[in-house]
Amino acid sequence: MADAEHTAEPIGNTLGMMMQLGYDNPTWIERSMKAGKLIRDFWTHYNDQNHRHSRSNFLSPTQVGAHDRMNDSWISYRAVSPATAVFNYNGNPTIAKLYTEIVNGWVATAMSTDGGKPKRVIPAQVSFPDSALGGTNSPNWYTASHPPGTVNYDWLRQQYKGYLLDIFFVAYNVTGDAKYLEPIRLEYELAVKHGYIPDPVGPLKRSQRRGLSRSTHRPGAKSGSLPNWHRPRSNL
Amino acid sequence: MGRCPIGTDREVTYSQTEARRTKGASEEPLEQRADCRKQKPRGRHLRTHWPISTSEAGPTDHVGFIGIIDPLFIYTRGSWGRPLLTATVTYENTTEDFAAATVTADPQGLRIYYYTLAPGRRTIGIVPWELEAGGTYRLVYGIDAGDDGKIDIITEQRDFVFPQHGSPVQIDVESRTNYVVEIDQLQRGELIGPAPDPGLSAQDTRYNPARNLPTARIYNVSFQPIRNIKIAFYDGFPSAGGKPIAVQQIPNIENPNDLEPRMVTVGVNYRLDQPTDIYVAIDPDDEINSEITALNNVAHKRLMDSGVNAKQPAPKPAKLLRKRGRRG
Repeated sequence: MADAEHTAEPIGNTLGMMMQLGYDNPTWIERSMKAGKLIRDFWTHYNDQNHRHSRSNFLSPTQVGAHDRMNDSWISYRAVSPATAVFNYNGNPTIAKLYTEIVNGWVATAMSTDGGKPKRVIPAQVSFPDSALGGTNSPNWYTASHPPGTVNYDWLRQQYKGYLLDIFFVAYNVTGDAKYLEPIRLEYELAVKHGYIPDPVGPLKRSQRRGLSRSTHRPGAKSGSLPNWHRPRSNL
Repeated sequence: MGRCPIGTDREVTYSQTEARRTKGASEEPLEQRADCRKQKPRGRHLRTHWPISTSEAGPTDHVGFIGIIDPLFIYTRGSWGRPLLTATVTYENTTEDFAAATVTADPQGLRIYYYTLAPGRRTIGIVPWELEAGGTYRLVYGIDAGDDGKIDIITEQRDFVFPQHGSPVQIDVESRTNYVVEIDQLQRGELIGPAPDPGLSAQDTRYNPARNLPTARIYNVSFQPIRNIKIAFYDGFPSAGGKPIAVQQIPNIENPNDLEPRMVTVGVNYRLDQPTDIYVAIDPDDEINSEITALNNVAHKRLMDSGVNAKQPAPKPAKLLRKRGRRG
């Protein structure tokens, strides 16, 4: 077992592609369904607030992480990519239900203002099972704890968010309910309001991203400091 | 991707690695400078050598490693997300000696630049994954003589109905010639609702010599139960004079909605005395109205081929462990 970023690669980076490359071979669908089973039976469970969340950001088919690794992070959803491929292929209702439950949890998390988090913002981590924004033992909602042996994620880097957003889209496609796009829309509006207009052309270059994260381009901002709009503010 | 293993929080970027490669090429062995784990040098290993130069991304980046992502995106207009590294276009029968850039691909059409070094004239398949099944499209492709991304000499223009996902669009290409391929939507396809989908593959087609029994395993890969489907076995390719062996009927294959695979194995009594090409077809009379795909309805395998069907005992776990130990 290791961090989900890496343990998820052998299935998350391959099976979905194999379903495409071997479109006429049911073997890949069968194998990809196992990811769905793991999500349902092992990797996720209901937290204290009865929301389904990933139990850890350390995952394997037989183990999940404990202690400071017990966080539902965006990267946890790299491992579920094969199940997404199955859903895209045949609309499996079990996967649809699982994803809807997971996204319901994340929508509730996004709307939470615990710890001063601005309403609407999707945190990078939620601890399991007690739903602490920012993760287990995190000092605040946007900073994770980083004891040795953990791979936890701070919100500022926005790393691997796409994996979570993918299942937001699945939940929306299944239900047609706009609430599943709401956190994404509100985050967009929040970014625009503060002058950070997302580039529709594509992701920024690494150098540009680095500039953004250090907010050096923002007038008045100190290099390396947290940009103002990232700070919890009561009027957000 | 792109991080060192647990315990270190240093990210090694491609540019940093490139800088090391150019600056320190003569100063330190490749294995050392590429290994962010500070392990002992390992000697010549595939992952430390171009083109599969994965070590700068950490040894656990198995698939989406640096060096492969950009070509994949250029050739296929792939993207991150969904099933990771989704390709909007894939290719068939190209050989590995070709270059392609997919500049746009969506349900309304696509545009591809294509160049091959494979000798002679060949028919290749472009598999457009974004096109709408049942939609009508116009294909225009031709030679870009001016190297400006525009078709100067049209090789072929034709309209077609895109039958189903996974279907290739075939074009003929000459070696060492710039081609531009354009597909535009003329009429939208139909939304595909829930559909059944029985499927099989060649690897699930076998022969039991003790019972003279060619068998095929039929899966249900949809979320609808499948009732009363026919499975036909042929000795030889059906449309090339293959002899029908028998037709079997499967009364029911439940749906795999609980995420447990659902399959049924059927067989026919047919003695094989020599290697024989056996074809298996699902729904040979085309009685199922709509399926997710019909591409998985036919499989072919040469049974009784030497070694292919010979049953070998699976290695015991202890043996596997010893093997791994020696390797590691």
